[in-house]
Amino acid sequence: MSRAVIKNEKRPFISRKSLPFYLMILIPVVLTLIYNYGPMFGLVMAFQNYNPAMGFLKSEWVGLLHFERMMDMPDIQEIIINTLRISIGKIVVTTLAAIVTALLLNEVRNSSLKRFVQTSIYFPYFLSWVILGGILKDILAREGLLNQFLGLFGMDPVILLGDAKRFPWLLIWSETWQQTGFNTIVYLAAISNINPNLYEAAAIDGAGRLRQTWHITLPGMSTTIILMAILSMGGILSAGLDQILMLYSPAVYSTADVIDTWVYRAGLRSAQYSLATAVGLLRSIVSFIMISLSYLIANKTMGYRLF
Amino acid sequence: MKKLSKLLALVLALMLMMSCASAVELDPDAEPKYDPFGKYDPPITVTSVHTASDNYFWFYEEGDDISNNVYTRRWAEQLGINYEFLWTAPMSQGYEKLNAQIASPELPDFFQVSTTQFEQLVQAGQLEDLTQVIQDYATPVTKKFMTGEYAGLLDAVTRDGKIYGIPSGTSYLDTAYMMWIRADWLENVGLDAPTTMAELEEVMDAFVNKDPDQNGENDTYAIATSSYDIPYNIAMFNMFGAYPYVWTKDGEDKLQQGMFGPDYRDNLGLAIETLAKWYDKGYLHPDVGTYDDTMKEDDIYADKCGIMFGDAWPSYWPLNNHVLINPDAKWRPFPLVSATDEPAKITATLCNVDVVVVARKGVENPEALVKMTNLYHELNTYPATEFEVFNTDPIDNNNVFLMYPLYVYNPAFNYEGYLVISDAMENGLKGEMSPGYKLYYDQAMAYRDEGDPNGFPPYAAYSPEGAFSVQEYYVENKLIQVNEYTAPYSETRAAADPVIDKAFVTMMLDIVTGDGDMTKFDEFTALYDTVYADALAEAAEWFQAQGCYSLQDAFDAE
Repeated sequence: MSRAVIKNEKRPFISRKSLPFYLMILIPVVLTLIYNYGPMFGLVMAFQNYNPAMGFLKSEWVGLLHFERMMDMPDIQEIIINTLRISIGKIVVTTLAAIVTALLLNEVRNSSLKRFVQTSIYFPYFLSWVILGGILKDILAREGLLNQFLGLFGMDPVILLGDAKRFPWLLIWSETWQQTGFNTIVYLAAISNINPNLYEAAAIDGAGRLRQTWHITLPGMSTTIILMAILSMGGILSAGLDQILMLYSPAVYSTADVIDTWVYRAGLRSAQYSLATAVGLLRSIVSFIMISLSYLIANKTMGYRLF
Repeated sequence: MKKLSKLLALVLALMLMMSCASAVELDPDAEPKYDPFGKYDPPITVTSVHTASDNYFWFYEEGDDISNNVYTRRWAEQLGINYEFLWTAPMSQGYEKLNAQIASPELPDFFQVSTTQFEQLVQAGQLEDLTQVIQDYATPVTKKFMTGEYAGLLDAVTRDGKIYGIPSGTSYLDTAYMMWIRADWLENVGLDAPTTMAELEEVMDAFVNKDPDQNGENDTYAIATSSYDIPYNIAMFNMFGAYPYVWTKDGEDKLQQGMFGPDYRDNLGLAIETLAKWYDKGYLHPDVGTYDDTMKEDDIYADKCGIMFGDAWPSYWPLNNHVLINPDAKWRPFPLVSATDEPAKITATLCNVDVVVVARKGVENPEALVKMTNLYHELNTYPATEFEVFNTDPIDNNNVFLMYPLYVYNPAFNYEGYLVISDAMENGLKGEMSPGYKLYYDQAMAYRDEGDPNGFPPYAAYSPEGAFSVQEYYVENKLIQVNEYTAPYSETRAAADPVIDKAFVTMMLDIVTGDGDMTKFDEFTALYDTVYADALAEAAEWFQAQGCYSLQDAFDAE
């Protein structure tokens, strides 16, 4: 909506102006072809009993055996539901948290305070779950910091790590804590793109802060919000393996066992290359469908376009 | 006449071929045909890889590293063999990296692989046939661990009468399952080591309610375990007459799993019910369902529990750390009590291959691998002339041999060591002892006589009161449940096992930490029968193909 494109002038494909741009993306395109498209050939593993010593050409072909095996598992439904529940929960909560934080930060006048807060909430993003998991387990243990704190008020210890019902919330909220800094920055950038005249005009019309947020800021961010949401939909079947692996235990398998953790445990006994590839392929197909669907919906309902 | 002699020759050739198709015969006492330590002049270079390069290497001499150390120098000097690494990787990545290497067309000359990788390589025809070079170059020591009691190790790496690798593994003499209890806590509560289930429960009750660490508070519990340990803790289930990880006969012509099979369901149910009761009484930590091994070890170090169910090795980890922190902690091993009317049996696999040392097909000097193994055994195993330099550092018990990429474990080391060391500890040192054993003898004596905590691990393992004395009790009384199913791990099992594992672990922890409702157990057994049917059929087929030959029957009959 804000780009000025002269539609009728004929422009050559490669001109002096555009050549530098083509050169700039030449290397990334080549790398993508080599490392992202090339390995797709390896997807044949999903239809074989892959033996690395024999390679792709000589391993035994088994067709859809691995997919059938996956679908036949007695707890496949539970696993898929767990994955979706955790994924969608994370997408919704992290998006909301980041939006709210961005809106609040936007109101801060003191720019050094703003920068300080931004940096400090960004920090957990850099910590890996191997570290965070260990820390969280310590804090949430029966005799850990959290329960010691509650004990000061005479409250009973709270069991989070071992409670199957509460565990998904633990995953969602700890992920939110880790990711919000990063997402907030994206939304702050979106907010800063909004024309300040719009706020003045609204103020003249008698709109208070809250109204301005609702009618100007949020719609101004909507493009970015939708883009971020569509991108997350692609990852809907991958619920954060590192985090879950570090925090879960058999006591919470019923709500925390997701597709990736199941494949991980299956692969511990013997190299399950084919099974893992089959699962990955299935995930990619679902991702592709989800992204296409979301984009289609956004396009039809809101005229949202990327190109 | 000509026709007849031709026929005879053919028949003879056929007979010869058929006899070769069966197991390879190695004569362990025969001296090798060629010099087993023959030096290569000019020296040769062989390539290998190292898949655990980050471990235990802080005792290198000045300026040493993994490519330049006591092993590389000795090998070059004595055998004229320079071994080089194509790459080295820390343990966390080594296995994967080796998998990637196997997929590539370039294999190292000699390397060590897991049993899974061995299967893959053998099927792909990528390994050199070592039958001839072993027969011609191997010393009696090298052959000892592939014959006699250890013939099972050789069988596992033989295909169609050809040997494709040098196996490294353990025998049933290498470990046993037992209870480790704090003898100092027993003293403090005035009880003896338990010999029956009732006595064990009394001890556990005292550990919870009678302040065994005498700190004025009832803050201790009994059994150290974690959510990953308790569902398959071999020692614990053996007490109840269930046998994880092994297969036994089902009738005369089928096999069943020692944990989930029809003959063991009652015992398994009893085990789970009893554990649920113990949980309610506080013998287990209330958070056991989420405990991992680090938390379990932390509790041990903090004097929170006094019983551990394990094999022969807890004294090397984690109890050694505990004794360093608290030298008064007197962890001692005891035979398992039994929940049934019969004495408890322990599970064992008669021969179990851990890793295989192999040579890639087409390597120039396959006999070099045998020579290297011969030298390795001479320095480490027997006569172990330089054990302290090449195997275990005498001061910090560090495993020097891990820097060598092709080590072959000595399965006789522990049991023989126990016999030699405990005899010396009881009757005095008579004459020369092999340097490997002498090291442990000295350390054990230091713990016994001076309370040196560094000597605790060998004392708890090899002394007359040690873990191997418990092993001896089981061996002498033949209280061993042998694994019958020795086929390589199959795809069918790889598909069914994760499902059963998850269902079992979830069910068991649910019942133990929850309301003790055993209907979930019945649901589990029904699930097992459905999911495992294919694997059971496959096992029965295999067993019948072996002529229903029962290793347990043979073992009992000896």
